Amino acid sequence: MNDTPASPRTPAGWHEAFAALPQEAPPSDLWPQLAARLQAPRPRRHVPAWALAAAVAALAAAPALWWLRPAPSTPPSAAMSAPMVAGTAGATPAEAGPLPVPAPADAPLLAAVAVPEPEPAATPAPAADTPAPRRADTTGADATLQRLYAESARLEALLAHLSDGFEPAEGVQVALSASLRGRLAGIDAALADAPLDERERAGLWHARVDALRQLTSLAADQRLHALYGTSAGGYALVEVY
Amino acid sequence: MSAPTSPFAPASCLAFAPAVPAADARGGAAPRSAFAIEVPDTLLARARRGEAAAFEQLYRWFERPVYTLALRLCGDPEEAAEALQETMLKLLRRVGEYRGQGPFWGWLRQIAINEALLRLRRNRRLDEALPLDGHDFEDEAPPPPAAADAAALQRALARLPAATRSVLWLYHAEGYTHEEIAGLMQRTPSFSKSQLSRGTRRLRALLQVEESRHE
Repeated sequence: MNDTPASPRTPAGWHEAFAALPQEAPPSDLWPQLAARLQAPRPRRHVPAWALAAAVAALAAAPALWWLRPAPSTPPSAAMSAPMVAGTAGATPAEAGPLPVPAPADAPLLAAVAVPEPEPAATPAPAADTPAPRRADTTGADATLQRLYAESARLEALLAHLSDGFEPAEGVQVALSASLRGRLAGIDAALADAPLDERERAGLWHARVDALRQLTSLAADQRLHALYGTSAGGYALVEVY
Repeated sequence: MSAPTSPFAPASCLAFAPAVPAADARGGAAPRSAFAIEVPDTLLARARRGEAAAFEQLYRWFERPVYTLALRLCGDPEEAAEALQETMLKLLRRVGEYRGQGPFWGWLRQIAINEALLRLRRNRRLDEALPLDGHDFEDEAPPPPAAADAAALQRALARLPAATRSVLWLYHAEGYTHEEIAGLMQRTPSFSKSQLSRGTRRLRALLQVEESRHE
């Protein structure tokens, strides 16, 4: 099989072929940049007022667009029936079991690493902006889940944008945000840990989207109040009580 | 507790996901990730206390695995470098949240995958996948000889759509199952299976073209 002296042994499987690929190194050493970012105070990104206004307008329009869209063939039925699991991101089986992805909050950088206290005003990570195209092979339940995945990803994208580099100053906002993130972490824990049937899974994803909507709404409100220098205490208190 | 991994755990840093490859049909042939580096507890403790030297040590150890994974998924050195930097910043910010219920490298790998997929989603490149044709039989034949040529394999991988390449990499190189990949990519397990099947066949074809070119 081996014809040329230059070609090594044919790999037995694809995993072997992939594993034999060399480890790549970044074109330059990124550590100095990283270290500089660690030492510097966490930058506050100045988002132009027009961008904030657009984000808030988009958020405000989202419910209307949601209801105006063509009705899905399988309306969500299990919404809000999902169990709310108390707890925070982190509790997982040991070793061979699933591991937690880091919890939601972005802590401040180096200074705060020494005091690893969860900071709620942070940036959830990933995000997407559009739903993936629907495939012909998706079933009704799949389609519902796909729609929830896409909505969840859209909201995370918006939330990441609104939260990036921004920390709420008011205690009530912090508490409310932390409470919502705790709820989200509980939902994620339930999604990750338990064997779920379709209905339960859809219910949890509905609950996740709902929690993300509330978080996004809160973050948008915080940014607006920060922009205009007003207090968001009233809003938060209404939410709390 | 060793609850089974949910196939639809959300693919975000808010979410949970498996850190180590779950058992799958490949049995003992499941690959070992390049991330699988044991990190001493003492080093993690120093990092938790905010020691810059400990952070640098962690960075140096995981720089290449993170960058390589991001490069394979994103296919672009600049995006991979950004993903590396963001992954490491998240590591440094959140190392205090790692509670040691699984290997540290699995925790870090999850952040890296999320960062890479985030970039693909932002550019809508996660929608780039091979079309389904209803003939997604499992390709269990060994790779062609050209797969032993790293440069040829990398060229062939680069020609696959981003989502297809990501599925192949997560399955073959990192050892994720279809259910886990579906959760990471917010798609269905059948999407992962079909992309693996079609992508493997496309990869084989691309490598065979390479071979014939050199004959």
